[in-house]
Parts: sequence; structure tokens; C-alpha cells
Amino acid sequence: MKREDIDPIENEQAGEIKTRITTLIEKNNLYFCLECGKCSAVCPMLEFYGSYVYDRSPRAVVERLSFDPEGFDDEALWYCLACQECTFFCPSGVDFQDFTIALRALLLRHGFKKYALFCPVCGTYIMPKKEFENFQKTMNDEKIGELLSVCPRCKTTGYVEILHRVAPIQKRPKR
Amino acid sequence: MEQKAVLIIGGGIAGIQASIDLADMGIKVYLVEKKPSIGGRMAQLDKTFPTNDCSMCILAPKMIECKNHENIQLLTYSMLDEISGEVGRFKAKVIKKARFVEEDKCVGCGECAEKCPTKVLDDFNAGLGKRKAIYKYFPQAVPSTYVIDPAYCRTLNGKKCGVCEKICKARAVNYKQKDQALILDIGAVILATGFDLYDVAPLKEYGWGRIDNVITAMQFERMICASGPSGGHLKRPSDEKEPSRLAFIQCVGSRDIRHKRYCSAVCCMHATKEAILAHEHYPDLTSTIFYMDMRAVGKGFQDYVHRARDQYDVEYVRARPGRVTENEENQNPIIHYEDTVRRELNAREFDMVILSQALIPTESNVSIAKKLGIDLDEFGFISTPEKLADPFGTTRDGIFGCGFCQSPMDVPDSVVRASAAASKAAEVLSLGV
Amino acid sequence: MALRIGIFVCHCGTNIGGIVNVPEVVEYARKLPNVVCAEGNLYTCSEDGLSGIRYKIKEYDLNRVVVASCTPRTHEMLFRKNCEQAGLNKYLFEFVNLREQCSWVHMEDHDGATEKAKDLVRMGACKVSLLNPLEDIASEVIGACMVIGGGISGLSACLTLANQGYQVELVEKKDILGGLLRDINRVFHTNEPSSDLLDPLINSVLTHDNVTAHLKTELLGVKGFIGNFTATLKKGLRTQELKIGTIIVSTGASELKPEGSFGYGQFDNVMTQLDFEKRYKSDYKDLNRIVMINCVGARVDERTYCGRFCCITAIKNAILAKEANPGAEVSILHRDIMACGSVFEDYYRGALKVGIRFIRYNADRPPVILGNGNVVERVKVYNELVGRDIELDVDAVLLTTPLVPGEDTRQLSRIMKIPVGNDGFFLEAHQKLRPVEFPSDGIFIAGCARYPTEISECIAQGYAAAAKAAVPMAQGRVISDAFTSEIDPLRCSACGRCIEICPFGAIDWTDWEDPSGTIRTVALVNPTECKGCGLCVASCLSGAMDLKGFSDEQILAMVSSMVEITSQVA
Repeated sequence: MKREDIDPIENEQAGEIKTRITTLIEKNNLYFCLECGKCSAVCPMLEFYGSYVYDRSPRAVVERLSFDPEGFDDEALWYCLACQECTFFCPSGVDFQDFTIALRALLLRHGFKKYALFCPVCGTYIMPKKEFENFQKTMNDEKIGELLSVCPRCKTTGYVEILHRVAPIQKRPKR
Repeated sequence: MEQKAVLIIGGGIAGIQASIDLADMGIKVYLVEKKPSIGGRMAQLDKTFPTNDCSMCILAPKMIECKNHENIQLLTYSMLDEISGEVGRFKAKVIKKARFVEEDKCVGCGECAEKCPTKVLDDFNAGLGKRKAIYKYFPQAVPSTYVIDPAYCRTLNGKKCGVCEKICKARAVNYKQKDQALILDIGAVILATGFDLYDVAPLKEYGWGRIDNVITAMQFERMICASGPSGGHLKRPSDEKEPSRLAFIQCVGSRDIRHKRYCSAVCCMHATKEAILAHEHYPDLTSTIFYMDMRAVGKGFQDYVHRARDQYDVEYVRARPGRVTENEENQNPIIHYEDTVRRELNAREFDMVILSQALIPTESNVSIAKKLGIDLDEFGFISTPEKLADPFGTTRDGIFGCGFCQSPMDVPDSVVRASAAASKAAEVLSLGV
Repeated sequence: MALRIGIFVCHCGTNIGGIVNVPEVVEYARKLPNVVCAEGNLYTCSEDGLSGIRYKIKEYDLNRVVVASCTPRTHEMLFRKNCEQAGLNKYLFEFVNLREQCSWVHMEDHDGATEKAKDLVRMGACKVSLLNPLEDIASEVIGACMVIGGGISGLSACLTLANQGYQVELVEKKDILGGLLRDINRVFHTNEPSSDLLDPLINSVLTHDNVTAHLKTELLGVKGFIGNFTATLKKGLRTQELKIGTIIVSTGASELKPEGSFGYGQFDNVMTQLDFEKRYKSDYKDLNRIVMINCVGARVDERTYCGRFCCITAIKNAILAKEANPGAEVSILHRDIMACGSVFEDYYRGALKVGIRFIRYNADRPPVILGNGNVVERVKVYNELVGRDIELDVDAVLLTTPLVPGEDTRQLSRIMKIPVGNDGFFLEAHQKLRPVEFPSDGIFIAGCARYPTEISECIAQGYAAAAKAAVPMAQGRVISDAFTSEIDPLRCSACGRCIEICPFGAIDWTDWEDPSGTIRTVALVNPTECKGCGLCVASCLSGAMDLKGFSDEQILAMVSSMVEITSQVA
């Protein structure tokens, strides 16, 4: 996604976004959520973030957005790693991973980019700000810190590569 | 009234009840059961909810009534081979498998099994104990005749043995016995094939098969049953110690689109029962039941659940656990879950975890349905096309279904359906169709 | 005639033989007075054992038989029949329990168990000496069944019984058949009109040759016993007597109207699910915001039971409302969703799919209705799983209530002496294995009169009760055990205790002419209905009652026999 793609639509009707979110909700079966909590229990990010905060767990987001699609201006929507554990285990068929990715794309298209990080050179969307902050905090190696500045698109910043290499080994709890 | 008989396939409580009702009406019944004894799942249970009656004590008189009734012919260790004709005029071929033990000679003394050298994993005890190659399915089996498992018997597999034949004082062992084919004139068929237990090994997140102290509910039933492999004592698999903190995980494989989408209907109640029984045996024991909805809908069920909570130290936590891990030092299972009411993530250690496995239609339904020319639904249950207008019908006239094989239901509902199917069959026979 | 007793002691495999020294007991038995034959068996109930007894009866010309083995609960009938087959009156047989009452409870003490076994056998021999030959009591069964209540359960029972060739008398207090289903607009899970289900059934029943329908008719009284009931009916000013063999109670239940709860009765737009169906039928398009509150009056302190299918009813109405008006906001406030089984779980998922919102609340923090004038405008509820209050605007508030026992339940219970449970519904003979039977023979139950039951189960129970009723009618007669209680009218003081205490309604008043010619009212036991439980004997203050097969004389003789040897040993 280039910088020029992200065109803040000034008088964007929240209604249109709401409609599109509703479509995404239906497409990804968010209504089927029975609030059983299995997604929260398998989510690696909750452990990563430490103590549980209601707002961030998959089922919380599902519950909130299912019936309050206007609540999309929310940092919590950017914490998810999109690792697919919740989607894999959800007994009701909710596809939270797909929903999150599509939702973020939708929001970015409509200019809601304050929670996301972009390459300072080419403007490509890299990752949620919060995620980058956490990597910075937890990654001590200077070299890795340097590598974090290579972009996959223009090759001047390299967050995504590191993410895939480092995160599964270090950050995922043992099963 | 036409002198045709009714063929009942499945000798669990539903099949037994339907047989007795029809036989009492003066109608001849052939009760076909694939296992060596009738009794079905109720024979494997210790107690039944919500009365906490001893299961075998209320089942055994009915089993004996079946055996002794002049209008019921018990065909155990038998299966339907083929059927032709139509309602009122079926011809069924039933194969009675060879037991290699003569039914009219065997007195059920058990000396053969004592001396048999071959041990086999015991399916009746949910794999928790061993039986011999010559065996009685369970102590109160009806008929009480022993049977030789041809898959494991040394003599039948060409190896040197013959011990049981030598030992048997009644001279009942006959290695040369052959399968028998019976051709029966049938007016109507009733299916009562019950259920099997879902294999929970694929649910790797719960650790059955990987973590010693994670067992299934049926294994727990056999453990706590006085006539089971541990004589009613709870001994956890890893170290045989008495557990004092139990956890029950509900909906393992049920209400899960990755496994079985439906609800198995009885697990909420049987988990509560098992927790109550465990506490009765061990007053210091506590249980935690992880559930989504506490489906206690039958008569007296809500009171039962309240009693469990108030008097038997049972805690109900609304959560569907994410996974079970193991404490490597003491092999205690640890359950990782989100308590959805408290909205807290927790990891709690227990001594033993019991998985309430999904209950599935028996695998023999597939071949039976094919032979009978009836449909199964997407889950493998006997298809009831008109669930409201005709709750016992199948997709073929004259063939009826009752009990769990139609849809998950508990014992009282199964028994009602069994009597109902008996009425339908009686109608068919009296209308002289 | 001289007594010739045969005693057969069983090893029961190792169950008895492994603890009790059976040969020693046999030796002991042989020396008891009047015993001409005693032997041991490995399994007395096996074909060998049974034929052995028959042979010995003939060989030794036995006129009394004692079997000392397991439990009479499972085996008494077997051994009695066996005696009968050998030509011996089956009531000249006595069962001694050496397993549950001896070997199984004294597993550590083999010597003690053997001594006790000897005592028990001696007592058994003593009792059998005092037994008299008796005959089974057979009574005719009228091949007609009275079905009380013409709802879905009763109609189903009628149809199948009529199809099986029995006469059916259908008694319905209203002038129309169909019961509660009549008031229901559409049925779950097919969402078809209830008339689709009812009309063909009603038609089949009314046009059946074997059915006589008594509409707008009340049941005044029932007398008699299985096979021979007399029912008194009242229609308008006329009364009529029916003679039937069996009775099925299918009087249904009614929906709870929760006056005072959540504004019911106070606000226009607060109604129960049934009210909703009646008021709107299928015309929901003006309802844009519906909130349903489940478990109103159910699973609470005053009424602990669960209504079983009210969750499904709420889901049904929610789905129908949403189908009629896809933009509507429909929320169901619940405490658990009881969608058991395969059909209902999918029905629930269907509701989730169309965006019906399920909000879980705790019984300790029920929803609050916020009214304005004569309508409720908002409902506030603490969403338990989310941890915050939610306020919903509403056009209509639906209260999901359970079924409660029908108003006729108490009266019927008195008329027919059938029990009612703590929850106010009729109480069946055994919750697990006898759900459609009453303890009194010949009377059966089906449908919501027993407990809230969904349609397919109502139909199943109707058919099941019919099967139970068909059994005695098919046999044409009922055979009752001869071990019944008997009254000595001379001693009866007509206190009525026995009549009150009998759980089977087997004792009633009768007029009796005493030796001096005076007519007195005394109690009379109906041997067909009597189960021989002995409660009346224990309760009789005048000593007028006795139980055949367990008479005072017999029991006291057993006690003497037990005590005399013990005191000799001491």
C-alpha cells in the first residue's frame, strides 16, 4: 500500500464503513460467536501482552464489533498478530484472522491510519504501531534493531522479515 | 393378528424396552445385538442421573426379562446380513457369529478365562483393563455364555494352546463352531443402535493420549464403577494416586464445527453425576466443570445441578479451555482457559482431567442403513424425514427408529421412544399390511 | 399331609461359594426337620440347575422347595415358574438370599458367613413349612382405553390405539381438540403452521371407527382397577358411565403468565411468547426492536425447574420476526441456551446467523425495564460476559416463561389417586425406566401433564403410553401376584389408615354383614391392584391386616427359629 493510496476521505460517511464492516462480519461468521473464550485461551498475544485486558481478546472484539460496528476507531483492533490460532480452534466457525486483516485494510483505505506503522521512505503499511513498540522493547540485539529498519518493498526497512523469523520462536508459548 | 415378528436391531435399553413391550402384547420379537451381550451403554455406567440409581440394578431385571420372555428370541453376537421385501412382508437374514462356545452347555463359571494365556485390551472397560481372548463381555452378561475372540485366540490362529477346551468341565468349547444363518419372517423393523464414543485423540489441544492424567468420561465411568477395572477406586493413570482435584471439560468434540456440530445432550448431566459420585467416594475431593451452557433440561435436572454445586463441592466455570498442558514434575494436567464471566485468563492445575467426549452414531449404522435401504442424516444418525409428523419413521415404510440412533437423547427419552416405536410396529402388524 | 422339603443351595460361581462353605450348609440343611433332599449347585439358575430341581421334585415327591442363592428381585419368577413346570404350586417356594444378604456383606469373614448362611436356610425352611398353596389372580381386561385430554399427546395415543384395534374413548373438556398447540402460530423447528400438524391428526382421530370423542365433557370420577375401570363423565347436564380397561392422562399444561414481573400486565407492549404469537400471528413488520427475556419464572427459587423448550420457542419467534423484518434488532437475554441435540443446536446456529443477538445475564442481576406511560421504551441489562450494562430500545418485550401444571392436575390426582410431584406436575412411577407409567396399574401419562415437553416428545409419549396400555388389553387379562394383603373384617375398626397409606389405591371401603347380621363399613383389599408391599399391615392398629406369603405367623416363626438356635449356642 503506497502513501498515495491512503487518501483520507474527509466527509466519509461512517455509515458506509459500518455497512462494509457488517458485510465483513457476516462473511467471517462473527455472529456465530458463543463467547466460549477458547480463542482468548489460545491467543499468543494475550500472554505476550501480560495480564489480560478485556478489550484485546478475539471474543471481546467480536462481541463489540458484531453489534457496534461503529466502534472501529479502536487501538485494540491493531494488536492481533493474525497468527490464525483462534480461527483454527474456534468451534463456532468464526474466522477472526481473516476478519482482522480485511478490517485493517478497510480502515486503512478510509484513512484510519493512526494506529499503523508505515515505511518512512515508500509509505508501505508495515505493522500495527503497538506491535513494533513491543518488538523494540523485547528485542535487545542491536543487529536485529538495525535490521528492523529494512522495508520489504523498497528494501530500506525490514520489519516483516524479522517478524516472521523472530516471533514464532521467541514469543509463542510452549504447547 | 398376523403372526409376523418384529426385528429389533440393537440390544441397549431402547431395544430391550421395545422388545418387552411388543412381547407383552403377544408379538414375537427377534432382538439382534452385535456384541456378545445385551445391555448397551447402560451396562457400562455406574449410576444414572438424576436419581443416582445403580445402573446395572435397574437394567439387569429387564435384561433377564428379555432372556426369559417366551416371545423374545435373543440373537446376540449377531448381525443383520440382508433384508428383502416390504412392510409387513420382510425376509431378513441374520448371521449369528460363532462364539466357539456352546450356548446350551456353558454355565458361565469363568474357569476358562482364568487360565487363558492371551490378554486383550478390554473394550467394555474403555481400554482401561485387559480381558482374555475367551471372555464374558461383562460379569452380568445376558446370555452369560463365554465367547472366544477369533482375532486373538491362539488356537483359532493356528498356534498351540487349547487350554480352555481342556479346562471346561461342561465341555462347552468348540473350536469348530460355524457362523449360523437364520432366515426370519418379519413384519416390521425397529432400529435401536445407540451410540459410540468419539475418538478425542485428534483434539490435540486437550492432550488425551499425550498426557496420562487426561481421560475420557467413559473411562471415568468404568473407573468409578464398583464392577470396573479398579473396583470403584479412583486411581489416576500416571501414579495410581487418589486424585483430589478433578476437572471436567464439556463439549469435547461436540458443538464444534471442526468435529461434531451438534450437542450430545447428556454430557452436562453425566459430568455433574460423575462429580457427585467422585465426591461421594472421596469427601475431600472437589470438581470443576468447564461448560458453555449447562443443559439440564429434564425433570429434576436443575435441582440435581444445584445439589452438586451446594452439597458436593462442584464448581461450574463458564469457559471452553484452550489447551491442557502437563506439569512435568508431578504429571498434573494444567488447564488454560478464559473464565468468561470473570473475564480472566487462568491456568489451573488439577490432579485429573476428564473430557466429556462427543457421542456419535454407531459406525455400524452405515452398513445397516445400506442393507435396509434407508438414509442417514449428515451426522450419521438414522434420518427421520418427518420429525414432527412421524418422529419414529425412517425413509422406508415399516422400518422405525428409536433412541440415540435418531438424535442425542437420554435414557427416559430413549425408553419413551422405544415404547412408541413398539406401538408403531404393533400398528403395522395389526393392520395386516 | 406330611411336609417334604427340598433345599437347593447355590454356589453362584464364586459369588457365594467363594465365601460360604456351601457343602457344609447343604449337610446342615439335610438334617433340618422335614427336609428329604438337599443339594448344592454351581449355578442353580442355569438350565442344568433348573432341570435338576424339576427332577428332584418328581423323584422325592417334594411339596415345598427352598432355593438359597442370589436375589429374588431378578430370579424369584424364574424359580417359581420352574416349580410350576414340575407340577408344584409356585407359591410353595421360598427364596433365601445368600448373596446380597450374606456372602457379599461378609466377604472377610468366611466362617461367620457360613454360620449365617445356615441360619438363613433354617429360617427359610421354617417359613416354607408355613406357606400355603395360592392361585394367581386373573381378571379380565376390557379392550377399551380412556384418553383424558385431546391435545397432541392424547390425539397421538388415540390414533395409534385405534389403529391397533382397540376402542378409544377420548374425553376433552373444551369443545375443540388440539390443546395448547391450537394457540401456537408456528411450530419449531420447521416453522410450519401448527394447523399443518394438528388438522390431519384431528381428522384421522375423529373419523376413526374405533374412536368415540366426548367433547365439552368433564371427568367426574373414576372407580375400579386395571382392566375394569368405571369412569363417570359429565357433559352439560347429562352424566354418562364408561367402562374401560386402561386410562391415559394427557391433560397438558399452561403457559405461566408472570403478573407483576418485568411490567407484565402493566405495560401494553410486554407479553409472553404465547401472547406474542396470538397477538401478531405472522404480522411482525412493525416491530423493529424486540427484546426477549428468558427464564422468567423458571430456574428461580419459587420454581426451580427449567421449561425445557422455552429457549427454542424464543429462538423460533426471533427467527420469524427477523425473517419478516430483516432490519429488525432482535435480542434474547438468557441465562443458558438449552438447545440440546442435533436439530436444536442447528436451529440455534440459524438464529445466530441472521444476527439475533444473545446476551447472557445472571440471575442475581436481572434485566430492568424502563417504562414511559403505558409502554416500555428501554430494557437495561448487565451483560455478564462483557462486564457492562447495555441499554436496548424496544418496541416489544417478550417474556419467555415455562409451562406450569394444568389447573385440573390436583383434582385428577384425587379422582384417580395418582401422585403429584413437588413441582406440581404428575409424578411417574420411575423417572428413568418408567416415564409414562403411574404406580397404579392401568393408568398412564403422556405429554406436558408430566413435565414441559416439546412436540416430538409429546407425540412419542402419546405412542409410548399407548403401548403400555395396549399390553394388558392385548393379553385380555391381568395376572396378579397372589402375595397380597387380606383383611379380617371382624377385626377392622374402619379407621381408614390403610386406605390412606396404600400407594397403589388398592384398598377401598365396602359394606360387610357381620355374623350378627349388622351391616358394617370395613376396608377391602383389591387383590388385583395390591402389590404386596405390606404398608397396610404395618399401619393397621387393629391387627386386622395380614399379608399372604409374609404373614405375621410366618415372620414370627422365622424370628423364633433364628433366636432359638442362637440361645442354644450361647
